[in-house]
Amino acid sequence: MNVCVLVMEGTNNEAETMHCLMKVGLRPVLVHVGELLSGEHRLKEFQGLVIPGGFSAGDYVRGGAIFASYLRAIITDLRWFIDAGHPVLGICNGFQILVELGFLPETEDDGVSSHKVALTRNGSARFECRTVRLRRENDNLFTRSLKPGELLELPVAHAEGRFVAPKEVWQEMVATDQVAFRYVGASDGPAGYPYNPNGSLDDIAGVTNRAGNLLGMMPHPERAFYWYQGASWTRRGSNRGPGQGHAIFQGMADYLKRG
Amino acid sequence: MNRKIDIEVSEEFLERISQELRLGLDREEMIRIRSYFRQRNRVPTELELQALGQAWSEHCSYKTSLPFLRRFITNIPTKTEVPIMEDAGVVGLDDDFVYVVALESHNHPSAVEPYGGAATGVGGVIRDVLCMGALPIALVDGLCFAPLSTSPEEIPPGTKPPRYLLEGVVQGISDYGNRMGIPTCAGLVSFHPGYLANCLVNVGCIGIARRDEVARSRVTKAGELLLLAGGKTGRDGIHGVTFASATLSDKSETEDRSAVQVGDPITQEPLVHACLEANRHGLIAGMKDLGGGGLSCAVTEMVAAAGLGASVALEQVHLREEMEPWEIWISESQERMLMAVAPENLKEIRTLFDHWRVELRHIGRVLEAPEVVIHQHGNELARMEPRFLLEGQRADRECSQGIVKGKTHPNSEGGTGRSDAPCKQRAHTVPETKDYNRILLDLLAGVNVASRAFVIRQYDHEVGAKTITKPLQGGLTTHSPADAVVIKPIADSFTGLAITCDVNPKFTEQDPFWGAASAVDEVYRNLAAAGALPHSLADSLCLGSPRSPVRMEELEEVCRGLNFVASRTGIPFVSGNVSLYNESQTGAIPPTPILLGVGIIKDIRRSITSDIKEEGNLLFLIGETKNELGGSEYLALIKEDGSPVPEVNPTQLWENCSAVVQGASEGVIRSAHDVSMGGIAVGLAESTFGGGIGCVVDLASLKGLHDEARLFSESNSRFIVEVAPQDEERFRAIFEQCQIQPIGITGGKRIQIADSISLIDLTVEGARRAWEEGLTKYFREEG
Repeated sequence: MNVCVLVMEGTNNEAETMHCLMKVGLRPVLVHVGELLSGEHRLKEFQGLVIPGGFSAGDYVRGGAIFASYLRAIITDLRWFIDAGHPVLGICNGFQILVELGFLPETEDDGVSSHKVALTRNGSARFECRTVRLRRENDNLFTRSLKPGELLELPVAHAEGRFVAPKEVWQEMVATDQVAFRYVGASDGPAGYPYNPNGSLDDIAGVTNRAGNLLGMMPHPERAFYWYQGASWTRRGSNRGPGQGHAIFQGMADYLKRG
Repeated sequence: MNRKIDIEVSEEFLERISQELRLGLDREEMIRIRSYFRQRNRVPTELELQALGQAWSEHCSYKTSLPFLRRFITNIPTKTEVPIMEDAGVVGLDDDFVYVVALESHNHPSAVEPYGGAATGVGGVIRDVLCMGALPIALVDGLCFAPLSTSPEEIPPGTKPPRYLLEGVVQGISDYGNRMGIPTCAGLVSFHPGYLANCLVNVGCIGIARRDEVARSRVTKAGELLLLAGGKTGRDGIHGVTFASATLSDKSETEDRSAVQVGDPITQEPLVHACLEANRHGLIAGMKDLGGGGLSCAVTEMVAAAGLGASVALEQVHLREEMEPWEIWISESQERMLMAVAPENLKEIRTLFDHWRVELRHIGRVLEAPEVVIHQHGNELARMEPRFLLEGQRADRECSQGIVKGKTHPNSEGGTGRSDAPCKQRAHTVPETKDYNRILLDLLAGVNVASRAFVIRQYDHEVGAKTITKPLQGGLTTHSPADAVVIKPIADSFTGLAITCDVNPKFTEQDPFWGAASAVDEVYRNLAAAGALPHSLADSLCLGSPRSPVRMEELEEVCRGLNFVASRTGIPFVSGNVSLYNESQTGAIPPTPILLGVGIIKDIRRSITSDIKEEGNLLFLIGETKNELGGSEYLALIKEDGSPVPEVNPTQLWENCSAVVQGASEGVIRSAHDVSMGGIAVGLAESTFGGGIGCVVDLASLKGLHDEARLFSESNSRFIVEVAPQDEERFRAIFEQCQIQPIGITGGKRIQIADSISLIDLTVEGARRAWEEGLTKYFREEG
């Protein structure tokens, strides 16, 4: 099961992402975006695709904008890959790229209104590196092993993660069950800062397409693959299972192995 | 255009030449150069003089500090294995791996241009680690500024306000480190009025390498090709090292900005991958980063290390703009590496760098004859002997005796040295009862104690997924400050490295010897409080101008103080940096030895953190509390002077640290926090924040002290540890050789500290808020 780990200059979470994929029994292949554009590699060699975090091309313009502009040259291939049901995961910068390309959220007018959607500058106007609590919302192939409403603690680290969308797009996303994760606060109701670390609309932390094979999320599951990578593990005593991000990679592997 | 410069002129005129060409050389040095060229019967070119100016600068040559370093710092007897000390120190970790440590200062560039100065400091120290063939895995920053409360009237002309400097520096480090994907996970931010016109920005980097892949910063034989890889060369960073080797003035802003380089992490990121991959494939004979002095220093030092020479064609260097030959030769443009490569490997390395889309230029070749010959389009521009360049000048500086404040210090032979100016003892007079609740809240909110979350969260401290214990420890939104962080450098091993960065300028200002010794003490106890045994140190010695005999005495005292603890505990300094001339129109900075410490923990799953874990556990104080309020946060708060600053007993320090590490490895210590700024009161309060679990403590068992010393003395070598009742027996056995005192229990939502009668009673919540807002209140948006 070959998984394309797609990078360019400035992508910098590829090593830990590949480690997680390998440990759940998949075969990650590091591919530079230039190799897809030149035809050195083709998407059809792969059963899955992951775009890891980082600062592609420095992200001096807008998170993921330059990476996405390269990928537009092969957008038909990408669309085919997604429509064929292959699992596609975008983490942090990868999520920004998927939004920038118009793949997330998936809307009736085929990406037109999603250009009004963005992951923009954090409410705090600063880079935020902290652990957040997430609630598993919709049912998608990555989170299938988690119970509905199950809570996860994962780190975020970004300056541009505030999900913004026009009301009609947001309503459509909710109606078609595309919210994968929400930030959770100390009590019910809106999470509020710092639980919602960036000011995202409706506490949205992760989004899928309708079919649930394309997931974009700001938090970093690859940084919490083992229990001893979590933020508060020294407080947990002997209650030690896999890390809180493990399930997402396992979900991808389970789906692919079932064929 | 490469002018010939006639230096057969008067001594006065020689000095003027040095000034006009901005060589930074003094009269004696210019005379030496004149006689060198006189003997060879020729007139030097501008390029040759500029190269000498770089090579002989304080920054490159260590001409002032080398005797002190040799006597006190680089000769520590140790069991730690240190195979190589070049641009970075290489230290043995296990049978298969070494770790690499580098620490650099970027003080003057950051004072003039905080964002660019700090960012390029990070870039440079990453390359120092890279050139040893190591993967950079963690960054550390040690920052010193004037207090944020400094009023605009106090700020001298040409100086930037501390808030602006702090924001710029943090943003620069954050943007560079985050974009490189290397976590910035440890550091210090210290405030002292002495840094008003000269802030300090020190950055460290830790790397990891397989033993058989360690690279050297040298060529190996004649015929090897010299390849320049990475970013374009431009006019930024010209005269960077001479700028670093002079005091700052009110004109630095306008005159020296061009000495600050421009950073581009996205050029460096693939450069790191390409260099490491080429090295792994055995394609590189040696490599070195281009830092201070640019090509000039890199080429000269790489060939001189092998007693060889080189020929370099300047037209092969890829330029960002049109430049004079001498500018190309000494430019400190960032993101560049110089490599020596055997001719038969050229094709393969070119393919590899093309794959990573990194520019690679063949600029020269290694020669048998020990001289560096520089050409441009076939014209010879310079012909230099590396030995003459690198011998540099040992500066004979005058050093005062007994001026520097302090008390009787043990000398390096174990006896006692001189004793001098007595300080006012803040002895056993019992002051009137004070509102200690108020004092503790003020201490927690003070800029030197308050939460660093504002800074820490702007750094990605988890990228790479190797950060096991974090710089903020506890729950989701509440934290205790970390003493050290633990990283797991090797995928299939549980061996960990603990990292910390420390100095207390209040101590070093009052007493350079004990202040430096205290910095080593704090490093050790921070590492131990994470569960790791101290293993190596790096030092960045930042002081004022060596032209002042008093500053020279401070340098000597600082070095002796570092040596005093390190040599008695067998921990080596594996890497370092000396930054002198940290002085401006407002005077010199306090002597500031910024230390980076690395400890080893055998199993990262036994790491411990500072936050109290459970209700009903026992709290023990480890180590002796003395009446040592000198340089304390408490005295600063109540605006009183006093002495002495804390002293160090290296034997007790080591015993306490070893026992804490043992206790952690056996799982009998649930949390540990070192006692430092603000004493026991602040230490206890900080421990309660992470988990929101309070404490009930009585300090009556600390004999012979009055309340303020019990609560706030900053005596060294102490810890507060949490032990579950069922583990008490085993805990006491481990600490048999140490002074321990049961001081209370954990539980509740209050911080209650008594000395028979109640002294402090605060809610954890209220104390935590004071601590959290101490720094952020200066950064709220105005209006």
